[in-house]
Amino acid sequence: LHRVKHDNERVVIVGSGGHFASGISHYTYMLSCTLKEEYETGALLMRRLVPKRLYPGRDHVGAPVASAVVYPPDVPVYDGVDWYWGASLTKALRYLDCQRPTVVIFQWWAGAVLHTYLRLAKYAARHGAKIILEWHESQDVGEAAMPGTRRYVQLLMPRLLSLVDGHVVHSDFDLRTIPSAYQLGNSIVRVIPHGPYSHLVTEAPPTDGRKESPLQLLYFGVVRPFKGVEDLVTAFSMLDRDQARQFRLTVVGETWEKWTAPDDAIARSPHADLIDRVDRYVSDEELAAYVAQADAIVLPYHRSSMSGPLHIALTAGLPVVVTAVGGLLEVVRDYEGAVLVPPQDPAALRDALRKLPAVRGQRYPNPNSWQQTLAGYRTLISDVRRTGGIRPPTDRTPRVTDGPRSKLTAMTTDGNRPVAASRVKPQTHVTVEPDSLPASVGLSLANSARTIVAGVLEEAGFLMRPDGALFVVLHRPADRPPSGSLTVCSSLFAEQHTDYRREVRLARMLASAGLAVARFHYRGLGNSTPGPASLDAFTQDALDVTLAARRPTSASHVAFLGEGVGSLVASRAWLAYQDAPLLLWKPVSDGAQYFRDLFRARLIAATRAHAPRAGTTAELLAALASEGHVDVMGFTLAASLHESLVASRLAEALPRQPRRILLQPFRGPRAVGVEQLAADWTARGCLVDVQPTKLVEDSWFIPDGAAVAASVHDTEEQLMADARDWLLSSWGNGG
Amino acid sequence: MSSPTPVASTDTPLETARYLQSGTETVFAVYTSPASSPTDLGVLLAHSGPNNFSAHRNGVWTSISRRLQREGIPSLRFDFAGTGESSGEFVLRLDGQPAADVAAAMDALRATGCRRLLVVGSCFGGIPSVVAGVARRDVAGMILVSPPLVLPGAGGMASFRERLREVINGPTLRTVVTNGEYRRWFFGRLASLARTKATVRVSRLTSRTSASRTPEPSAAARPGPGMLIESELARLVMTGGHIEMVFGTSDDNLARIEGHAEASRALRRLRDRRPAGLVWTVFDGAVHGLEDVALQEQLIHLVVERACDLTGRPPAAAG
Repeated sequence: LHRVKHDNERVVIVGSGGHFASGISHYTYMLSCTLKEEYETGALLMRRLVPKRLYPGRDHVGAPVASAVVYPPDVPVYDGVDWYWGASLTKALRYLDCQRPTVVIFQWWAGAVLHTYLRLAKYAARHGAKIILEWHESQDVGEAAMPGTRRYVQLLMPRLLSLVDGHVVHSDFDLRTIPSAYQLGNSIVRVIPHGPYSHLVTEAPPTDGRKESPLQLLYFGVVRPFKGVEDLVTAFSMLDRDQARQFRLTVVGETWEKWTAPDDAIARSPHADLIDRVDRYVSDEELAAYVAQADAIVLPYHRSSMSGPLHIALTAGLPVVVTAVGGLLEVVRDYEGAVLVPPQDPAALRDALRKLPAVRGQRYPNPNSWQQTLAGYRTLISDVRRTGGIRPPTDRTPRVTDGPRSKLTAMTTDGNRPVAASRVKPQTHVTVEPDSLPASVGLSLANSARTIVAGVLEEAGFLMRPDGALFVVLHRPADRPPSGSLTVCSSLFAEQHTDYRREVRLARMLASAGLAVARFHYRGLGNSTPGPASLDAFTQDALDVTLAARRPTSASHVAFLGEGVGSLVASRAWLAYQDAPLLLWKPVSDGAQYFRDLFRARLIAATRAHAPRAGTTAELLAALASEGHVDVMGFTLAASLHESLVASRLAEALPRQPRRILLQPFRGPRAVGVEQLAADWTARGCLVDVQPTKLVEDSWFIPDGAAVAASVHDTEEQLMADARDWLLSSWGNGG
Repeated sequence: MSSPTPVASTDTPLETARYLQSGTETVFAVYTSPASSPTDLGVLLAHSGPNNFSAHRNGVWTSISRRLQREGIPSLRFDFAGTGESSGEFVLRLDGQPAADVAAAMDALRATGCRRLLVVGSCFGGIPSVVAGVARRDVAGMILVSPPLVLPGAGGMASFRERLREVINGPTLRTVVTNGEYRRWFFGRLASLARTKATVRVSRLTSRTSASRTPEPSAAARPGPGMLIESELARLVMTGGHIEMVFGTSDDNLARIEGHAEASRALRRLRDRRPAGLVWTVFDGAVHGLEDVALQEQLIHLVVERACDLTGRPPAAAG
């Protein structure tokens, strides 16, 4: 396979060396070997991590155990930096001078290396390198249990994070847990799955001859409290003698943190004679031999972010019994040889062991590959490079450029009195650069669930981002790939509630017609996590959701729908996609007018509810300014959202080339401005269709009654069918 | 060996989307679980039905879930069939699909390890919650937020006089006279309503078919002239559960109970027989519809406090 080297990128990977051999040593090595396929790659290794006497695996420090780690000649290696620095750090800086990396990737797993990483990252960043931090876990569990270490990391970590341009985590689980432990700010975060440890696995001998011998169960890895090895021994002990004789259990791993519960359990086991215990850090050759002899691997962790032994098991293609914890679920999601069991449940583990004889000798394909890693890094490096040599802005929003000043210079929010000028943002023509698409999103829904409703596959879950999780629902056809993807930007407040079901029904109708539809709750609203609300923030949400919707669907076409005040969000997000059509339902063309109507509705609602007369709009605005938020009919309106929307007008969304737009105004005041809006956009070369509907727009006072509801239902069906037909015809014409 | 079998995990994430089977419908829910040491009590949050979704107004249910999570109490908020993300069409019934939805949600919450349930139902959502809860032994308590125990007209349809009173009353007329904005909206609304109804009638005449797509309530669902779910409430109160009615002084639902002699008597009887079992909380203002953020906060506080009481744990922190 011919590979293109990126001549302009030089990568240095900073990780653990072989002196304090561990899984990170292997990962650093494998990542170096992978990235060298496309980049000039070097490895800068940490040698002595901590004083030897403090290290739980002190017995193997310096021993030649990591024999499989042999860096290729075209990867320059510096091995390495000691915790006490001295000359080793000076040489490391000289190494960086020599390599002149454009990207430095730090492998993070323990606070022991934090001070060194901080020094190296500062140095590299000062010399123009982009910094990427790859997280293996937030902090080593044993280290974090030592007095003061957690606090030390919490104190210094922000300094390191302030230098980081991009983060890599290995699972959606880490995407949730790590940003909750550390403020990652506005840097890019990517989920790049862990690759296989092929260098530690040798060809397994034929198993036919072993069928009569006991089935070889293997646990390997450091024995620590959270590894749950005692559960495995307990489960094994729960087998009756005849069942136990079918197995031979081998526990390979050095005891750390004086965790002798597994050894105690072995001593007590009625099947102790069927258990082999190797209490030391075995060499790579020995490990390969144990894996080659094994018929199945059992990893009974109580918790885990990621597991090297699990990747070795998958590389060997063995059946593996593993607890459903942390990021492990994602690793084995597509591995057919996995048996998942609950953690700390020896009975379930015992039941899983009983199933293993039936699959003895079977081998399974590993769904993970280093090619995934390479592709992930290729994109990430490109993205961090795209930030233009500057650190990411503090406000991760679409790029907005000042355009010609708007004709509207005196904005009022109550229709009568001008509001203090300082409260009103200057008018801008909004231009969202197509190349400013956000890249800090995990792109897959976490904690999600799927169902099929009338032939439509629906997946609801949470899009995890550094600045909070968005609740997202993706609708798509169950029986075929979608031909396009529509992102729905909903209205706000009570209007969102009355519109909600209409949007769900639209999504199902479009998915039945072969399209994918992404719906979501803006940050801070509904089921999404709290976050500062503003038009920019909501636009970013829409863009993030659009990216997330496109990945699983591979949809080539993209479109946006804005409903009510969501039109202002949709029209901004729309600018990021050159060929996307835009649909607007009962569009709010002027944010200031929207609030005038909303505040009026507040007075009407109070009257209808026989409540004491609500304060005037002026009083409300004063409260908004002083308190930062106000209550509008039971909805919290934040000043930041009010301020950004009041200064926004639909006509300011100016595409650079002709685009297709469908305006579907409802009956009511908002329809008045639609003609002018259509004229403005047509003058810009856009193809604008206007299809008025008989639905009423102030639907927060929608009347009850079955007859009226039926009328609304029929009209809504027509509205949705019109939108569907228009969208399909837009894409049919080349979008 | 087949694909990995999903199982519960101790690393349970904070919030998880769920789809539950409720008869032929699929009901959407969000499960919020504590990070560690969950209590044996789970809280089920039922919203008010049409025009609502799992988070409830201003995310009140979401806020309650997240505060309960901090107290170590798991919770589940869900969409009735035909609302939010669920499948189907919403049917305003006391039993049938809505009660099946509540039961499915209760079962789902139990399946996460909860042994006892506190059910919070908002407005209509409280009614099928009581119907579903009465058949179970795991309901430790219910909080009904402005439940419509007495319907307008007490027979399912508002009487002409009541409907007239909705429009022609002191505050409305006063505002029509004094407020130009309101006056424009009021007459615009009347005109729009008349136009829509006229359209529907014309359409009926021309098609000679029923224009209504909303299923008629079944005989079982058609409420009688008395208080709704009276016997179910009585059974819950007498079997030792904590039943709490939360109203606002301005709530129509409270006024209807107070103006309905039979309902008032029935509730008084229940309170007399077991005063501790039926708690009556009335906030100043309108609780119905949760159209007041300050009252929302009070409600959130109340639910969290009651849940903590039932677990025996003091609330960790306010706010």
